[in-house]
Amino acid sequence: MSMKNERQQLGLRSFLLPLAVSDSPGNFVCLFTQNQVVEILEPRFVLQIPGSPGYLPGVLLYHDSLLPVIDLDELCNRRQAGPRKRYRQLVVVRTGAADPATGAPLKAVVAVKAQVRIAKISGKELAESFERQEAPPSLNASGLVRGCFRRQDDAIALLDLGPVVRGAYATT
Amino acid sequence: MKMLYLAQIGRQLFAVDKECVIGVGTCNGGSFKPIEEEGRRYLPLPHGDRAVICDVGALMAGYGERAPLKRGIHYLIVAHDDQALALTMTGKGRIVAADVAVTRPLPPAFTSWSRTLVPGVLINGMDLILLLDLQTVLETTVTQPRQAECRAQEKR
Repeated sequence: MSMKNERQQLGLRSFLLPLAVSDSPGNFVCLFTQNQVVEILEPRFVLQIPGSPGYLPGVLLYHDSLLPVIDLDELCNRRQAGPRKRYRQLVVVRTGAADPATGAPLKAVVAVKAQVRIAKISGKELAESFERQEAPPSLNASGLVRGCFRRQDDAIALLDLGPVVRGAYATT
Repeated sequence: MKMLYLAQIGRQLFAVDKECVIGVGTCNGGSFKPIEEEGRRYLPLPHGDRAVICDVGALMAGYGERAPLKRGIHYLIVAHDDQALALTMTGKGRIVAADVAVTRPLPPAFTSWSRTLVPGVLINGMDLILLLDLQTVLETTVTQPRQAECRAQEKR
């Protein structure tokens, strides 16, 4: 128990994925906890799936599983679709959602165009220096925002990718 | 095991049942002119037959938008019901034997039309091969309503 408390004092590792939010100036990042992030991969070939929306650029084979690749910038700025860029890193994440058919936990690959930052955020810092703020309209319109905060120079969004990976997003 | 015809477009691999394949064509000569009729383009075949052209590259890239047909392009000519389809491909493709029992469906994130068009993905080592549904491919050759539908879905 004391070791757990000690770890929380030192801070949990968090992964800050840069996010381009059209109607919010400054740094915007999407936070994933160390429990959510499975692995960060180098860029590799993503198999495009015809007819899929811009926020689902394709699938990736990861340890014998086919994972959907999600482009967060496209997801959060769907009215501002720009030219596709090359992805710099691919972050394999646990979404917390389950496959509606099999009940298996669903993972996804988040494609990012800039380097992922890693920060250690302690429980104390989380309570004291995270200020809740309104999510920008474009981000809010995605319907996936679980929270939006300000920490130093960063605006931080927590996103729920569950509806996207369950296939419930496009139809809602 | 099943015999499939494996074709490539850019870096993407796709496959159709070998039993459906009529042949492979190449558009080399300057005399090649696709026949345009009711929004579809047709590749003239010997004996006065013709095949509906499906630009698979454009289909992969986004909603079947039509690109100008280039010389030197290869066509995989397949039969579907009483219709012949000419699928564009890079190179001449090849016949492979594959265990289709291990075909995977697309992840649940992919819905509606993507799922119908790609009923399964075949994993071969590090390669992923899309199995295409020919009926849906045929429907994409009349592109305009489908494009509008997909774009509307994406905006939602």
